[in-house]
Amino acid sequence: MRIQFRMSDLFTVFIIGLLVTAVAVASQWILRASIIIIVLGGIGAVLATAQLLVDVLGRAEVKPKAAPAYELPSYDDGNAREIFWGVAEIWGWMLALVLSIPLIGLPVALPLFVLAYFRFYGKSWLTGLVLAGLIAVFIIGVYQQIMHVYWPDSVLGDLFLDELFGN
Amino acid sequence: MFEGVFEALVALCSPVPLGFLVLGVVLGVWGGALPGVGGPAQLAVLLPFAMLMEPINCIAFLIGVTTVGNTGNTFTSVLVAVPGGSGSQATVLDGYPMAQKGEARRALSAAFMVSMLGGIFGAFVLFASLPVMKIIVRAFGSPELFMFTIWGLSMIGVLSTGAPLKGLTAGVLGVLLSTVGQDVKSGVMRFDFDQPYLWEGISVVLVSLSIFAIPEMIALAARKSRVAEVSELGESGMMQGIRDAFHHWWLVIRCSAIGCWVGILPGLGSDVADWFAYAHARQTVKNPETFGKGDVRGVIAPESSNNAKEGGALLTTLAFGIPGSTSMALLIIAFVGVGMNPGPDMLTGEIHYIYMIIWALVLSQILASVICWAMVKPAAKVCFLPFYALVPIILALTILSAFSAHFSMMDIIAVLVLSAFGYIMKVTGWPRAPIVLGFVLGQKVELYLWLSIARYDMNWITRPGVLIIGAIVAATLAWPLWSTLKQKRLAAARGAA
Repeated sequence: MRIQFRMSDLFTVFIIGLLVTAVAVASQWILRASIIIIVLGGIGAVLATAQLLVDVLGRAEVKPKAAPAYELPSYDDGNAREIFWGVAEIWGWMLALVLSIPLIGLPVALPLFVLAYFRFYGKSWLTGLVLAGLIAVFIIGVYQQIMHVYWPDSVLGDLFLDELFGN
Repeated sequence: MFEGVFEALVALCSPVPLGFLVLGVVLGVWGGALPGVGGPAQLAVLLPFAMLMEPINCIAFLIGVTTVGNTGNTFTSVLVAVPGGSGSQATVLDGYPMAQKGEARRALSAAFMVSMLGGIFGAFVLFASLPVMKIIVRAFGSPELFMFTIWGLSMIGVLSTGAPLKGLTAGVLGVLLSTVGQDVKSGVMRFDFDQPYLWEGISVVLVSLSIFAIPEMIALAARKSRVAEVSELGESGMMQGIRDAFHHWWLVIRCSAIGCWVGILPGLGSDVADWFAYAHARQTVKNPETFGKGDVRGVIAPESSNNAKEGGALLTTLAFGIPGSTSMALLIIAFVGVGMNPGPDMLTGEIHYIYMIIWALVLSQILASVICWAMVKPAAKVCFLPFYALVPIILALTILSAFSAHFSMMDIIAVLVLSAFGYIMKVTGWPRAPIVLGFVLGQKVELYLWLSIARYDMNWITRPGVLIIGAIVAATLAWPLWSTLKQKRLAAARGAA
């Protein structure tokens, strides 16, 4: 029997850890609140452990399988290195967006994100501004004027955008 | 009786009510197509206006708004893997792969056709079952509803072929995720990490956006391409979609019946109906191995059921005054506000209103499908937009939609954390749909279990309804095993011959 551990197995280990922790935490609560979590969490931990064993111990013997029937097919057939950096890049964009929201406010951050992403790939200012403008109109028109959404506080918004967006 | 039915149609087709119906349908389709805008939030905004109308106009307008969201939300589910609402989550599984293969028009066209047929089926059931409804609904208590949720959970195992252990574990994770927040039975704060944000639990909108939409956008941005993997859309896609709907007519009827039944049972809702129908289709059709890879039957099944559900949901809302969802509760408020009396009295004293509602439902479904068909050609071009145009817009709308769950910055942080989880699931080959199905059913499983025990002690297990549904659950689990054995025997017999 050959043991083969891959990076993807770390996620299974993480899932097992998550389920075991959930069961351990739930066991401190009264039975009414915890029974479902203990029973299902326990079953889940056993299933995930079985999956890990199948993956680690049986990988060399298992023929390549089709994707699970309950999953969208993946078309990530490009260069692995390019895909990795592409994923890192989009996560960077998303983190920047989330960090910018408390700074400049959601109604400004989202159109700015659209414009910046579009311009980053060297596309025209005009199209970028139109797309960002559409998002801004949607945010202000639907969320601000019709749904009367209260935006989260932001540093810049507190300084001078209150007048503009009415919060 | 038939005279009353005809009079209701004539009244509804006069210019003013018809105008309000068209306006309601347009708003409903629009709200459904934009993630985070439709559903109860949209209805709550429109309610004050609707309550100033005449009853017939109020019926036309609100039925138009309420019952067509699941038609409109097919656009985002198919084109960009963003479930526009909880009723279109399962549509993503085959709709998005069809868009990737350049069959977006076919998928959308088939979806709108079956949405219309399913909606009309629901209206017919609403009409036909009025006399016997009281008996049927009273036969279903919390034990039977608990068994229904178990049936739903059992489908995770059936559908996770190829990765059964991962599928079941993901389903368990979904159930556990649904337990986050205050436990209503005991008051215990579960997995709240001392964060008031988590006291109310995690929104199903957040979970479905994080598990499906954002990981797909990340994948699209990473490979720097576009949704469609082919160079052009097939010209015959629209007609092919319509042909598909009629070719699979028996599947449409079965899934519409499932949707209708789920709608009748208060508390299950449209977020379950589409999964039930998808699982049923996956389990019963020939050659199910193409499901999840762009099979039109995987679009037809959930789309037939989520519109048929509206007829069922209206049935309990009108006949008993029991709202099965937030939208139905808001509908009752509006109807009461204009002087109607949803509940048993409506069946006797205000039956003409019920006929109007049935006709409004039928006309709304037809109108919504026509409007959506008209938009298929331009909408399908979204699949050919380059990633640098599509990704930022969809991400911005997704973040906005996530924010509308509780209107809190924490919504955005939660969606980011869950998206990371969803993306890792995608790249490591863990099926993601079971986590959403487990999440949707998790709270209901717990609620109905405890209600059953509180009301019937352990005697609930012996109720006839429980035993019947238990047998269906057992059959659901045994069916794949039986069919595999049958195929093996057939193969062996052929080999021997």
